[in-house]
Amino acid sequence: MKEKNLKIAVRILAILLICLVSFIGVYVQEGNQIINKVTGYKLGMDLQGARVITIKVSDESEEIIKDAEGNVIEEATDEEIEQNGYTKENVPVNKEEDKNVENYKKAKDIIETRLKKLAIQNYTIKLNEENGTITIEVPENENTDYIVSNISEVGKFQITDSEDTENVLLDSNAIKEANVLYNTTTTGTTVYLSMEFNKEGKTKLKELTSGDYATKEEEENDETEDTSDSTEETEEQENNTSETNNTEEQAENTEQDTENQTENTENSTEEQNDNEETDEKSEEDTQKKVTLKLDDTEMITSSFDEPIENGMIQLSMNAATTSEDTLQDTVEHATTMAMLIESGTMPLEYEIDTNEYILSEITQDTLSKLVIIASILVAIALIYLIIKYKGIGLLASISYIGFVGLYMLVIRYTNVEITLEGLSGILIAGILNYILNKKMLQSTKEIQETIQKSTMQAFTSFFVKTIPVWIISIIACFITWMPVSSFGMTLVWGLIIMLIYNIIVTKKLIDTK
Amino acid sequence: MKQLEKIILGLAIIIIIIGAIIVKIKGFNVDLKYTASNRIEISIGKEFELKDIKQITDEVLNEDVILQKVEVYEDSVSITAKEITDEQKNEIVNKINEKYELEVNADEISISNISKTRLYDIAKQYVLAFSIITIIILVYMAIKYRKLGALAIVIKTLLTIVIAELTLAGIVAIVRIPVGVYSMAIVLLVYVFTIMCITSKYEKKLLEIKKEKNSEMVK
Repeated sequence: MKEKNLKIAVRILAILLICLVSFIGVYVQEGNQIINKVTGYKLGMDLQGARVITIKVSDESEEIIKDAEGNVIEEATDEEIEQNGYTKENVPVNKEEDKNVENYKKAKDIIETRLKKLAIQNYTIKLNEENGTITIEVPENENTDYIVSNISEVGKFQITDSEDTENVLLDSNAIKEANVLYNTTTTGTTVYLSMEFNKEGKTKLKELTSGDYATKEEEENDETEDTSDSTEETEEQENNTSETNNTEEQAENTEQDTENQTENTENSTEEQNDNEETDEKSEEDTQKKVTLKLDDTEMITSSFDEPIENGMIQLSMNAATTSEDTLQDTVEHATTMAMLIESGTMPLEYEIDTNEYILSEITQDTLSKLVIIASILVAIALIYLIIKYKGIGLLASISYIGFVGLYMLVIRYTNVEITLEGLSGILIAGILNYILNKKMLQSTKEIQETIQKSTMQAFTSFFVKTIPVWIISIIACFITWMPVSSFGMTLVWGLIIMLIYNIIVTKKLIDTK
Repeated sequence: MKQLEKIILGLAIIIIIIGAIIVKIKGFNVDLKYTASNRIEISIGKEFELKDIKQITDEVLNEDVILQKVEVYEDSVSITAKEITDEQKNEIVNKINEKYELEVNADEISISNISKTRLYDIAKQYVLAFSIITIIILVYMAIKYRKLGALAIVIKTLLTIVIAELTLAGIVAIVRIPVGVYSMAIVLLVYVFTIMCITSKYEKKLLEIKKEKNSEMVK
């Protein structure tokens, strides 16, 4: 009897300890401060607050230079303007006729695609259909400023003739997908921007790369390409390898590219030596080249050694490096480019109107009130157990409080982001644990009366019934939408703890009694 | 079908129909956060309590407002209401000036128009996720309870989930509960407990079949 009581006392003490750590914390003096060493809860956007970014249709104008015939001149000095009789004009960046609901909606869809491409797991997006103003709410974290600075870019991707920039050969409408790939060799890691073209784009690209823009044989043999182009190619080499279906294969291909790149570098050195001799030849050279541009910024100008038949272009974004900072910057840059290229061109130019961090309307006070209400409900439910099952009811109640304490600790230490949906996951786990405890108590009573069932049987039959809940929570964990994954994560942890805790603690407590 | 089940189903259908009519006529009572609204932001420059601001907005606006602290220093307040006129803005600023001994110029504070959020935009992420989950649950149910008739189980489970969620939507529409940030959490609660209830019912039926078989064998 004494041994039984001792076991019960030890278990209750352990539960008490868990509860103390979970509900009160572990306080340690550090300098002049007393700090709680227990990790805090990680709250989601709806409970913590969000960065609210408002972007509006730009009212700005840009100065353009036109010749006497009204053609736009890309660049001209004041002297040239005067000499050639060019005129300067202020033109709004957004034409009045473009400011319509259709374009506003298109802009909103593009921004949403960009948020998805950036793997933002929780956001809200609102469109004012009258003036096109878009309000975006995103979680506040280390990536937020990066999102803010890139989300409203126009993202105009074009492949044009290098000489005649008005001749757009392909644009973002021909892009199916754009991704960032890596290739690590002994010399370091190279980041690649991979662009996959859609059916039409693939056909057009094949035509271009095998037709006018194919590298002329003569040029290849004579190595007459000018030095600047060769240097550019070593930095941003195109990939003309066979079609690839997965990243691993693509990485292998990029490795081949690196080898090609090295060869090209050697070639360009030779070219530099021969440069003087071939200067005259270069001038006569009629090799046509394409220019890849993003928002009017040139990415690369090149011709194609081989026809691209798989509809994929891979551009290396850096020379192989081992520097983490350089790599991080390059990846960030490449990700932005991939995001802009894939999402398409914004029909209007937008500018950031407001950008601020706004705390949740669900304040700490509201949360405290919710916790108090939940505690009262739990207390009532536990009192019912104590009244109905007396001694073992009391032990089960103590065990239940221990479960809640342990559950809250696990939630904190597993870094689960708690959203309102996550709170409902916690609530479900709490209710399920209560039902399980009640069933265990019921079966214990039945043992005393009819010796038919055991607590373990009650336990097993309960878990069979909760299999669909396991399925829901596990799948929800893998959904990339934060409120759903928060729901899944909180629930799955609740179920796991319920399974283990009730076998180790609750069952033992009840059985000992 | 038992008498009680029939009554519950009948009630649910009535709720769904009434709810649908109300939604058609008046729509859902959408929470202020998701409706078109006006917003002002006032920099107080020191610590403040939202309940004090609430008192002021209650006096001036006399309607539902969303009060939020702004920026990391939490020294500004954002006030969102369905409509804020210039007069109301001036009055709020004056009262805040009085309360916190400030000299904020009301003319420097603009009223921004906040556009509404489409309920579809909120729901679409969940619909996709829970459609996948429901399909997997249905497959599981069809396999696990095949003795009860796989197709019947699939139809019954799907109908139960749909009716439960529609009943919830009907109640929300009839009682005019605001559709807002808490709504999806409640929908998830109903979803999980509906599946739990239906699983318990199937388990019970399986047990009955087993018992019947056992008794037949004994005979």
